[in-house]
Amino acid sequence: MKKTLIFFITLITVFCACACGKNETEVRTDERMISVNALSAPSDLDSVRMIGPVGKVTTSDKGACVTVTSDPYKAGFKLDTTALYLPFSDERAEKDYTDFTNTEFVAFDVFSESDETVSLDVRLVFSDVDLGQAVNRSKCGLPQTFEIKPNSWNRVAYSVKRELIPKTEGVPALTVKGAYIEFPAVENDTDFHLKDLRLYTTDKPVPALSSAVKSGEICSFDSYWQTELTRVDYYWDTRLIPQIRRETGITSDGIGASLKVTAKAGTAAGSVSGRYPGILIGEELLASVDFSDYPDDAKLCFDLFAPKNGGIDRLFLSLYVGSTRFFNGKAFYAVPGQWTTVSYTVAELNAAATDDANFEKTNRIFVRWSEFTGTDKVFYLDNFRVVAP
Amino acid sequence: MSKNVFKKIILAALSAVLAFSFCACKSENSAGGGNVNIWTASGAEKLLQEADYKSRYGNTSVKIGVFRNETEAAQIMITPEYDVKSYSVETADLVSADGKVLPKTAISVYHEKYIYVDQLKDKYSPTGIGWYPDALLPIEKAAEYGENKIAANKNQGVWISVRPDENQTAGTFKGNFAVITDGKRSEVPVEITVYDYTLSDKVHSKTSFGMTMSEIAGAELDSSVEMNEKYYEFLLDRRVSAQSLPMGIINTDERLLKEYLPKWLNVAEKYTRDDRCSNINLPFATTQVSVSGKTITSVDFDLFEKTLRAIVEYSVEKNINLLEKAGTYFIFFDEYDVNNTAVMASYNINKANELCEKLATEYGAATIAEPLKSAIVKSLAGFKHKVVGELMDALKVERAAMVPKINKYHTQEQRDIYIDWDKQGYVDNGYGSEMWTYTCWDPMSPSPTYHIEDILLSSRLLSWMMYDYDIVGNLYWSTTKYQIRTSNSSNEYPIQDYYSNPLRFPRANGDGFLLYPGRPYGIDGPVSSIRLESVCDGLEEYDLLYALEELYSDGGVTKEQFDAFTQVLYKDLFSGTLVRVGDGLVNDFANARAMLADLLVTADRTGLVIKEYENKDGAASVVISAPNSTEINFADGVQAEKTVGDNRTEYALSISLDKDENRLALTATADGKNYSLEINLGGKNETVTGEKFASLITLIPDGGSVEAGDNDGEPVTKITLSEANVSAADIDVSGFGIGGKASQITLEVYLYGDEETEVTILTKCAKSDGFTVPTGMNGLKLNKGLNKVTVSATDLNFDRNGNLSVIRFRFNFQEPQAVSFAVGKLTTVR
Repeated sequence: MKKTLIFFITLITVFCACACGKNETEVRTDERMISVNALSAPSDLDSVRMIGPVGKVTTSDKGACVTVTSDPYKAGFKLDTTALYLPFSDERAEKDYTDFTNTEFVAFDVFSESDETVSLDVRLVFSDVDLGQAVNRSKCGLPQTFEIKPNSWNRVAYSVKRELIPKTEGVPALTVKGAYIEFPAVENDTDFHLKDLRLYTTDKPVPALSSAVKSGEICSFDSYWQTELTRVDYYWDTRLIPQIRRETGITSDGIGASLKVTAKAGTAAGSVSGRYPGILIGEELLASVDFSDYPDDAKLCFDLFAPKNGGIDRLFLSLYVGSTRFFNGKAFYAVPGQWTTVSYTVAELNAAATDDANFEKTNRIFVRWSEFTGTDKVFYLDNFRVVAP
Repeated sequence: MSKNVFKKIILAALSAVLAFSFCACKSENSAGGGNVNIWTASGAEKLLQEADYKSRYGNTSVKIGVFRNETEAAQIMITPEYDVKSYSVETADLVSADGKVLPKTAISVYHEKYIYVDQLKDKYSPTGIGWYPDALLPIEKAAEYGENKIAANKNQGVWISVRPDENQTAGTFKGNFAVITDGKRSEVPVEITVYDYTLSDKVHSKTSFGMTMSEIAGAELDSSVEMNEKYYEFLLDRRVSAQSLPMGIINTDERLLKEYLPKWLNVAEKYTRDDRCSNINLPFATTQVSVSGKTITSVDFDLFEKTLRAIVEYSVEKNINLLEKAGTYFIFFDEYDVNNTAVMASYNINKANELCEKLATEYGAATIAEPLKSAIVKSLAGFKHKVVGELMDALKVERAAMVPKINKYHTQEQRDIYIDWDKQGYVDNGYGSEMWTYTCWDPMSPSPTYHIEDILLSSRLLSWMMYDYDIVGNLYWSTTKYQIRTSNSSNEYPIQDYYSNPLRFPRANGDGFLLYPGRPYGIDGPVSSIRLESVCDGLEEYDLLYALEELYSDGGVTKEQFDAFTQVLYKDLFSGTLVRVGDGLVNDFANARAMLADLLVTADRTGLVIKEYENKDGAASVVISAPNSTEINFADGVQAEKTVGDNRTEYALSISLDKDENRLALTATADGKNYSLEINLGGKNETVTGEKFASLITLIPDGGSVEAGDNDGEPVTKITLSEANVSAADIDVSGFGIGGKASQITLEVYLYGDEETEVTILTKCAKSDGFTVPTGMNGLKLNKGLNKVTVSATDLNFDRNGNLSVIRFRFNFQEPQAVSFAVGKLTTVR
């Protein structure tokens, strides 16, 4: 009797298993890991976007195959950024992993068929962004660079600094829309295979952003977040988007880091085009800086270095309160091959100030250059500070 | 345990099995549980997925009339009463009565994909919110990806497209296709008439349709030149020239010109030689210049000059005029009228004209063999630099190929502005006419649009309007908007499902895309849309009209005569630049196409042309001309007065327009073959005689009088206003209810007294909110005696506003004065 009952119960179980649809569940090999996109089937590429002249993205037995082209017209033309955008959501599959409140790492695996080690830059995209305007600093974080060894699988693990993800008013979650992967320029068409885009979560709370600065410090670039939160202004012309990097090897005081800026060549002189691209030390960076109670003879200072070859020649400083500019300085000049200190007294900075827009209320500092043609130019900034008399 | 208990346990277990099976799984409609309605429709309309078309289930056969080398379509619609798990369609060879075959290889079948419009942007859309057919997925792909299913009570359209090749025998070919739904086979009768004329490959209209390689690359995951070429050729196969030549991801900018110009020249040569290509926009780079103290964007004219010189050198080397199809589209001052960039536009066009004229002079003196030299010089001297926007005084240029929106050609007065401009800039100088137009989110229905929620014929009839108004060029800003622009800024964001997002540009559904990426379906290249196929149909008909005009010209018909006659083709389809949206439009279009086919075939095969045509006083006066060797027999007892010339015979006849539908039908015989021709002359003219107005006066100032009268025997209603009353007065005549298919309304107005006077005539239609002043009716001068006042149906827009219901005469004098006038006969012309 017992056997008969067990048999029928088994039959019931088998019937249920066979006659009904499967429930789909996420497969996690690691409790903290969320598989976002296996990148193995053609349909996995439906949400993937290509930006710039990458070449082709198909699937192979190794996963998504990104063929980075050396030259779309085989005439020796070297092109700019070529990139892939991998979103963290899939509308059709109704999956949404964009809440990064508990995400520590973004990871994927890369197999490079290059003959040499190459670099891959990965950024996080914080909000819906025109991919044609990619690397808009206010929409994407700074890149992390990964060395990819040839002819082998490499694990790319982007460390998420949750404290730097911009917060949106009224939205409790920290939102990251996707990963933006920049491929290197190549001499010959080269395949890169990508697979298993995944996230690793944590129970640890979001670290507090310790944006405290030393007395008198405005922005030294010694803390990593100071570079992360530096923004750019490029007149909606992607050709003018400057590159900025945290540079530890070249500093004015031998401490910490500086900001390396690569100013991009444009199409006309700024005096003709009216375009003065720049970098912005903005509200996020200046939130904990106190500009008050400085006498007129106190000085705003910062350090500038331009290499002997390929360095910028002159720059302009302007200060704002919101969108109101109260100081627009004349050009200051770099000395090729050496650090120089640029300074303005508070009195000079306040010469055209008003009650609503003045040094004490400063929340945006622009360093600009006149658009130029020809080749890109480099400079370094360090130690924005106020020096009391 | 007893046997009974054991039995009960087994039964309980079995019940449990059954219960589990029922509860844990979704229920499904069982296959075959009800009817599958299979019905048909033309390829000139959009049928929504969830609309009720039961009244049309009686249409069960596919009928198509098509020229050789033309693509024409019809639809098989499947509306099942239960969920169909899979469907397929089998085509077959079709056979004529004399055994000739139209092979099934000439036929393509597509599964119509539906896209949901939930934000209605076009307020005059006749169909509103709902699921619209748009993407056309090859039916085998629908099966491969499991999309060949149909939910119960939903309509599934199957697009049947036929393109007989140029060697196809003419005739009527019949057979059956099969629709198979869950294994059940249904036969659909098919009849395809191939007209005895071959549409040429050569495209006579000009197009510049935007196609953005970066967006294509983003969606297709392929930035190769080959992918760009696939898209370019796809449009070319549909008579559309893309805005830029296929050069891959490289934009037409400084890099292209400096590093890739030799490659561009090769590609330009290829498409200059290709009859399908009608327009090549030259590449250019920009810079910034200072003009009157202001910095503006300018073409880099140094580089542009080098480019032009390189093109001329290449042309000489290859003995081909690469400038033959060339023009410019300096897009950075696009829509200069709304973007306030007249200064920038003026500067650049003037510089461009100067440069081209300079080069024309220089090359005119150069040693280049004829006729190439003259062709190059003419192309340079009369170079067509496009300026998108309305012609305004702020544009300070002598010459430019203006590209206004299509509604700027609505009235004859408006068209005259561009005709005069084109004439003075190009035609009078021997450079050839080139008028262009464009559409985008604006204007909206019933102007022709490419919007998803607009009727399908709208996009097709734009080309018919273009032909009628001598507009050769059609510019459209984008066919591949594979991103979403969510506001009026230039920011655009990626989308994940291209087949589900109708609103890529915030102001109109479908604006900016006519193509879909093929990659999601494993297709190497784009997927077409029902709207693009309709645009193509219109462009094919433009070339058919062109062919007809050429044949008519050979037959001695002037352009003016041709334009006057061809109104019979257009009158029921559009008025001005408004599509005659209404229930009967699809049938009217089919009739117009059938007429066009008859006219073209008889002109081509027999030399018969309609030389003169006039609709006047309730009759159609027609003069037909044909070679003496062509015999003509008129139907319906029509008698014609023959005048035989040396080579051609003219037949003059008059047909009374006294029936609801009137026609001219004949058979022309040449070389032993008969060709029939039937022309729809329209319905009878409606007339309201003058005395009837007496009872229709619904508004008159105090002291005004109304009486019946006559003028030279014609009954009139006389209206007199005394001096004491009239400084301003409105007199309403109401209750007409006429309009319908009328193309114009003529009213006889008699003015008594010695002085001329001014009157403003306003009209109100049944469905309109208020009065409008038709063109020319504001401050109309009335002379003593009889005045014939004509109002075009273009202004009244009966299709949208309903029939005419009120005519208001408004007098407005500086000082009070008496006025006495009479209203006589009112006549509509169909």
